Amino acid sequence: MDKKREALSRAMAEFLDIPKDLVMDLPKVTMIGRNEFYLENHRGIIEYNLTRLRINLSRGFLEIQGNNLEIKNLLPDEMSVYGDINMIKFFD
Amino acid sequence: MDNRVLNQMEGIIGIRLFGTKVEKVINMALARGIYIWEIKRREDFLEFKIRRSAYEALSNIVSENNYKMEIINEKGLPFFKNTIKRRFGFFGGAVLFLLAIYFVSSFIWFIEVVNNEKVDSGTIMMTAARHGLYKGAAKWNFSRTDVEEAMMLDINQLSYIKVDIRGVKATIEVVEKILPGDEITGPCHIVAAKDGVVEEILLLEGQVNVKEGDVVSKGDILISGIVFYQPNPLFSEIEEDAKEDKPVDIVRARGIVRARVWYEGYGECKRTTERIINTGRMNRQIIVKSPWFDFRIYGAADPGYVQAKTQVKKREIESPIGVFGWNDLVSIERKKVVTHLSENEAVKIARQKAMQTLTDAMKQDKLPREMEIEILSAPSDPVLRCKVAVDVIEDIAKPEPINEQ
Repeated sequence: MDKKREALSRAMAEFLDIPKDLVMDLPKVTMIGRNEFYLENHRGIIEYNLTRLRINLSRGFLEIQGNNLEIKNLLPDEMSVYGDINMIKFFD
Repeated sequence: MDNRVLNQMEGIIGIRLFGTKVEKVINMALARGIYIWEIKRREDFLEFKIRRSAYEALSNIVSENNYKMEIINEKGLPFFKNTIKRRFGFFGGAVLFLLAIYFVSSFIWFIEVVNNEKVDSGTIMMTAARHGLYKGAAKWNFSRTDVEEAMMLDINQLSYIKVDIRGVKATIEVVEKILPGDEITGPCHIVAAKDGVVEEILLLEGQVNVKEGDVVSKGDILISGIVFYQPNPLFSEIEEDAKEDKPVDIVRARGIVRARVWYEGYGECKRTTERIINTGRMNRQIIVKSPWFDFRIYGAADPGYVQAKTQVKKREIESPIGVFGWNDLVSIERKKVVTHLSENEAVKIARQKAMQTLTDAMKQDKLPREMEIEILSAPSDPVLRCKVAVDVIEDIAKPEPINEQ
């Protein structure tokens, strides 16, 4: 059922030329250099320490690995992370 | 995302959160719309900042879930209140100072008038003062445009006034009217502006009183504006009636009368001149004065100059027991220099002076090529005198209104 809804949403977004992050609630990631990371449409924090940050998404989760990671701002649907980022991974 | 000014206004609290899986508390706080920033992981706790208004909600979440938290620091305006209360004198003084500056800057302290040449600055400032703009006037007591309009009505010689107020200074910028000259438009004669011999006459209107070759004096009527009837021998019968109707015509005489006029310049030069010049040598003395004795601390007492000019600067204080202070004396040596000029040199200088007076009399820089130079004194005279005469042909016509009474 969910897959059908997702497919319909994607088709609608493509047909009407609407950004998918709005229609499908997809995460929007912005990186400035390798030290600043911005994320919109998150669903909370799963795990946080200085080397690893796991962020819950609408589908799966996202993992950031690095050193001296710090959550600079945290709002209900957006966040920014500063630190020496080595890797970003998406998990379903 | 982050409004630092708003955070400072509302107050910022630094929190230290203890326990395992503290991410749970963070997520619950997020769900309640609490804004959290600068989250840092330490050894066994988490540090972050929240707004003062969110503290109560967060402490409820923490206690409900059996976590522990403590306040690290408090910043922002609400926490500054105590400091303000403690140092009320200082902050009150600062506020009072700012208010005083604001109050004092609400008055006009300087007025400047620019771009006026004929109309006196004093007159303009007096008029402005009459309409509320004066030194010490409060800015709220007058309107800039009202002052401009009222001043325009009061001063006829001005065509534009702009009052510009910057801080405590008012600048009144004016543009003066350019009035037309006193041109004669009514009936007039043409009279001679200078003495001369008439060379050429061009009549445009009026009746000519002189002919070529006549010697005229200043003020003589050259072309009359009163035209008498002169019968035409060819139409004597027809014009008989016109004569009875209008025997005399008063017109505005117009024309050009060119005449030969003379100008003279005179100059003289002494063969022997005496001048006093500075030799360049000088002596400075500084004398300390007291009621009991005077003491020279610098310079020679008598430099031995034959002729000198002395400048004295006195710095003295009078007290009941006498005068204290010091005098600064500067003696500049001078000497008399006698210069003897040769006859040629003296003639040259006298001629230059004569030329200069001639140029001034003619009111023009360019002199005619032909001029008569006459040396009036003998070579043995102590003063050489020189006269330069020139004759030129120029228009001497000058309109003069006719007094009809």
